[in-house]
Amino acid sequence: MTYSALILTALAGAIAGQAAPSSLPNQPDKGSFHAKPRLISERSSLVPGETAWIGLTFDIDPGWHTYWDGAGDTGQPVNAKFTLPEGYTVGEILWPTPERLVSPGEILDYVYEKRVTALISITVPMNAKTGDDISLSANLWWLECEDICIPRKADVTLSLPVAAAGATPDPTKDAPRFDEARKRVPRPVAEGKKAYRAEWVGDRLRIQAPGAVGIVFYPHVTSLPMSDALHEGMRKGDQLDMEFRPRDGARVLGILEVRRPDDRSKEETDTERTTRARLISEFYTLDMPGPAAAAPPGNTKDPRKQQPGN
Amino acid sequence: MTRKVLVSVLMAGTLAFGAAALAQNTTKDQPKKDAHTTKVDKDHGHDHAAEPKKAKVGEKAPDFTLTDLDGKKWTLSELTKQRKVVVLEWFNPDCPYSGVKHYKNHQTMNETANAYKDRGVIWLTINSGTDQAGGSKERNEQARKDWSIKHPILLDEGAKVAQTYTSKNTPTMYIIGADGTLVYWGAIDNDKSADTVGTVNYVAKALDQVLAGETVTDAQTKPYGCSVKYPKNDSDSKDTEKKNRK
Repeated sequence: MTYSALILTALAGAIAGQAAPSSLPNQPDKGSFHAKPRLISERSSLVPGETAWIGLTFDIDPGWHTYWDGAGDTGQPVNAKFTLPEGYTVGEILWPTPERLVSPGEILDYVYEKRVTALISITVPMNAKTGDDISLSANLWWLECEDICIPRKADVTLSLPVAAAGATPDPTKDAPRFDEARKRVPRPVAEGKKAYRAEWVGDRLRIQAPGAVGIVFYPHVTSLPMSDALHEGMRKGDQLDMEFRPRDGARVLGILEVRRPDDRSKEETDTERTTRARLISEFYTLDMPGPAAAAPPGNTKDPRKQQPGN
Repeated sequence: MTRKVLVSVLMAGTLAFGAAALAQNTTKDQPKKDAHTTKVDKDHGHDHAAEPKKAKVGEKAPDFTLTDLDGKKWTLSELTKQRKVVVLEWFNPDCPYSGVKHYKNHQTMNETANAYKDRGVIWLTINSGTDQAGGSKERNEQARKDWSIKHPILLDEGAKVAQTYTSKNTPTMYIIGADGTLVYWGAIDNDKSADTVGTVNYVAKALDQVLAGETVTDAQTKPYGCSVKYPKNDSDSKDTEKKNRK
């Protein structure tokens, strides 16, 4: 049997001697979700013509994690399809920076533990009717793992009233989750340019952040791939040097974390000397061309190397 | 009547990125099937240093010996002596992307193995997991029974072979050509979800090329799936990042 015949068989879905598979992703009967999703709102009502922030939040059982859409070794990120009423649109979806999780076998993943909230901006139409109740929903699928992994699917809904135009609704009890998430949502590329310098030295990308005591890079799944993310993606000090595997046209894309000492720790008295300084982190989107595109201008003969400036 | 607006959300930010399969073309030609090849290897003299060489596409695949469920030993170099093409499938019966997707809900592995077994291709399924993570003779035996697996299932105790092959996912697929060179390393198919099988079976495609004496065009793809369950004594991570506690 050839390759093409095998594909036809797979597509025909012939399954001999087994129970017919469910049309849903595999849902083993392992009890309730370990990552429990909700759609939440920062404010208690929607205001016509304004942008509202809603959140997709997961409460995650101890020992379990979900995944960021990173270039990790295993896992699957959260996938969400929103259903909104007429006139409402989704703007930005902002996922906070994950954490690196290293498993035996030098396996590196980018995960969320305990709690994560993705921030979603919703544009409320000008003609939204005060007093209406609006329903926003999302169809979700994700992977939650501990030692074992369980793919999950769920629908979540949020109901909100429409306030009068120009109103300033109160924050909800979920509002703190938005502040928490904002602390780890990466700042735009332009802001990063003031905090660090990134330049290619051959196949190696050198990041320098004056004053930093640690730098971490979290590559997005579509980024130019790293040679050794486990050992090169994180360093103490103010410089990060990462080798990338060449691939035409791909950009380096991800999140850069710059760790600095917390100035407040200087307030300790002599009798309270601690061995570990407190650190604060800043997160920036890193989005830049690969090494070939950044080749020095003398290379005018090769049209492939003439890339638009970043 | 409300109009439903479906917005598919997967990635952070609003930049659009094409889905990128990490296919890297190998520019190295397949060595000719030549009686001299194995002779030259033998003449190389002393063995490697204590640390076994790690797998690399385009190079000789690391040798190993593992035992199947019937007590039979399988040694890669012996299969190469017999000019067999060898497929290695890293496997975890309980992983939604391995046992559940490609044996229980779909028949990808059995069908592909059966399609090529009469063409000089040996398919070896390898379970490197710890005892608690389904890496036991009993669990493999159960899988063989449940899913009518006809090809050998090997137990890689201590994940030693997984280490030399740097295997991180179940499933991860490797294809070793008849001359012992590693010619493919990656996923089984191009659909990394837990429920649907992709439109491209990378292993079948590569086997067709290998058996026709052609270079494998998609020699390295990114595997997907659960992590291989290595024993938990690693502590190579020095910084303040999380360690998997279990």
